[in-house]
Amino acid sequence: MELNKTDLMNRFLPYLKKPSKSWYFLIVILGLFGALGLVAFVKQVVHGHGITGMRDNVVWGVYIVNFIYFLGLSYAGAMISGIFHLARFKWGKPLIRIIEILSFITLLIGPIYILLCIGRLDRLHYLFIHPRLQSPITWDLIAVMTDLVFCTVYLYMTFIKDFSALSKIAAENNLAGWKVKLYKILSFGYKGTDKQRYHLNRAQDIMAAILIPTAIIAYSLLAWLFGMNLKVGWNSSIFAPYFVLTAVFSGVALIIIVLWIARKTFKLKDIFSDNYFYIFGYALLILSLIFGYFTFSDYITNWYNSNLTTEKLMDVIFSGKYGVMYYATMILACGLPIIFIGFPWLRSPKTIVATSVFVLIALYLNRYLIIVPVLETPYLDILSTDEAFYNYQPNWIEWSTTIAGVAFSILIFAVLSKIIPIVPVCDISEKKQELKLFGKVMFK
Amino acid sequence: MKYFIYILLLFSLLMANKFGFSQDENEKQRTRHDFVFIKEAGGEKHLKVKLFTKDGPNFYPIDESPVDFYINNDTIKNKLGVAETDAEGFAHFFIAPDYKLDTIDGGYYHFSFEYAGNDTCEAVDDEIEVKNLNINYTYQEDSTSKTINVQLLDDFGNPAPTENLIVYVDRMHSKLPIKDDFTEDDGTMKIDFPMDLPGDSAGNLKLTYKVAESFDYGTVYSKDVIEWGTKVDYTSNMKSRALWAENTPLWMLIAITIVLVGAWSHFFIAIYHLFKMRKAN
Repeated sequence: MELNKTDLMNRFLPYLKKPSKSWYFLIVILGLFGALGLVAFVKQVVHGHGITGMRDNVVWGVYIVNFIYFLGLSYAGAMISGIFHLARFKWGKPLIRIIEILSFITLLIGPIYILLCIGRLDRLHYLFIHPRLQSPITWDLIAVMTDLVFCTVYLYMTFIKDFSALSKIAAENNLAGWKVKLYKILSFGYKGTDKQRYHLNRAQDIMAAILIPTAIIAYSLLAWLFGMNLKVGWNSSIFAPYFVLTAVFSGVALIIIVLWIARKTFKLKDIFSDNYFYIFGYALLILSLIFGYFTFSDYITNWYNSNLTTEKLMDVIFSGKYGVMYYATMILACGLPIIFIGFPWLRSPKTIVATSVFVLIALYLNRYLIIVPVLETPYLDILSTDEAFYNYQPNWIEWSTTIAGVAFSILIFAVLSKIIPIVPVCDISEKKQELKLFGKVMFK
Repeated sequence: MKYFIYILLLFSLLMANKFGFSQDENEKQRTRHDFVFIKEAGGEKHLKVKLFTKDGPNFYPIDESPVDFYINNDTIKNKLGVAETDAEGFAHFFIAPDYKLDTIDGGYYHFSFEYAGNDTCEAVDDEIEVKNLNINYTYQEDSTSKTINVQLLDDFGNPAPTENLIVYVDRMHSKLPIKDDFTEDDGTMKIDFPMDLPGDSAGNLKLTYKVAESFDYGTVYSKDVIEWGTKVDYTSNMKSRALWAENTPLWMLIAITIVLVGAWSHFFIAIYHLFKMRKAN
């Protein structure tokens, strides 16, 4: 279906006007959850990390789980949107913006959990003034910051055409005065001339091209933060590809869910047809099988060469206190996609969305299983009689900040959807977009 | 019919095991033990007992159980003290250095231990007679060889012949054996020491002499430090650029620089295009 720019813009203009009561209600609810997280954060700063479930051994709990989870979603978004952009998938154009926004938001929220995890925030600047380039922490810091800058700029670049279009029609469509000014400033002088389009497309292509390797490298660095530790369960050479794969897996699941919400909320069934869900559903199924393969490969290698500590870890994960979590993870992440997407008579957009929700939950549990049981099973015995040293139990402080992170993510998305159309209106209606790679024109 | 007989046989065996041939639950298990005397390098003496039981092919330590230790002379049995077995079934009793140990004929110490048993294990006791042994050594060195002359003598100057003497050098994670042999009739042993053994930065080597589980003397240790190793400058092996050093490894520095320059240069090219776009207005 050919989509007309004016028609599309007219469809989104009502969403950019004065927000509805239900929108304000949503913002208040999300704000309250966010406030709860802030209260927990302040309490933690005042009383120290002792009020969380973390102790000397399990120093990385839910905060780090959230960190790698959010960053995984972000990097997956960056990779997928970059590939969609460069491959010039016509069907992929409408959803690129949603993916980019998701990528940007999760990248914004994720690193906050690192700040929550740091015991001495007053020493945070030491990472910048005394960096050790051979430390994975420094690599991660550089990678996250680089990716944050790239993602933000890339997202902004993809907005420019729509900002320009909106700046022309904002006033006559009674959009708020500040929005009219904002669109004008942010359109960065774009008027849609051929030369401008060429330069903007070139800039976007370059950013999309560097975002893909940057995301892979950044998430691999995050994986090496674990993999380079001489700890049972972490010291594994497949951790980097395993992390990247899991990131893409969770990213695809999130895209499916958000696509469904966007389709319902903005009434976009004609743009996001059922086929989108089937395509992403197939991707989810394939990724679930690869995820199962990687998980099996990682655990069997650990198990086969197991020493006493590895045996303890394997016991805890497979038959001990994390047994239920492990099997739930595998059933939700591998079993459900096979059943509800693999079998044609069970496959539908709704079952694909429901499966994606469970996959997201499963992959969160997967990150928890990667981090917590390993820290509870050190090579050297834990020298404490305090139960909390042996068994990590996240409490309301950690869960509040987790919920707050999710709430803030939705809140930012809701606010952005009031400033810019959630589909790239100008890009969709643009018929030709040349792609030049390594000096060669790839697509015309 | 055939299967019926098999099932009947199997059932009979199971029942026999359950009611007839199984071990009486009240019957105590036999307590097994190892009892040794050890003289440490500093002259400190201690007695060590291991208590365990055996069930099928498996051995099980008897832990948290008190063991009484005694020194006996011809007439009296003097209690030295009590030690409790650890998780591996070992009870160590260290004899105070200033405690005067009685001897019996021939200068032997007559030690014994008693374990009273518990609800599941039988009581057990044992005794050993050991003499005090001194490991004497002298070092001989010339330009082509290094030799250690060892002699084992008891408190009365009598030599200890055909005793298993092991000499090794302490390394960081293990012990490097130099000689493992039996002493001559006069209690001596000659050890040709290697000329090229790496020592610490001053050439020091930590030597341990061990008489292993002798019937007459128990286990006896002696230690010494000699300057017979080659001097090794370990600091020269430290890489100036390594993960653990202050300076980043060069390859890593190059790799990170390439990646960062590559990524950021493209970023600035993109920004350049953005400004060109603005200018093209």
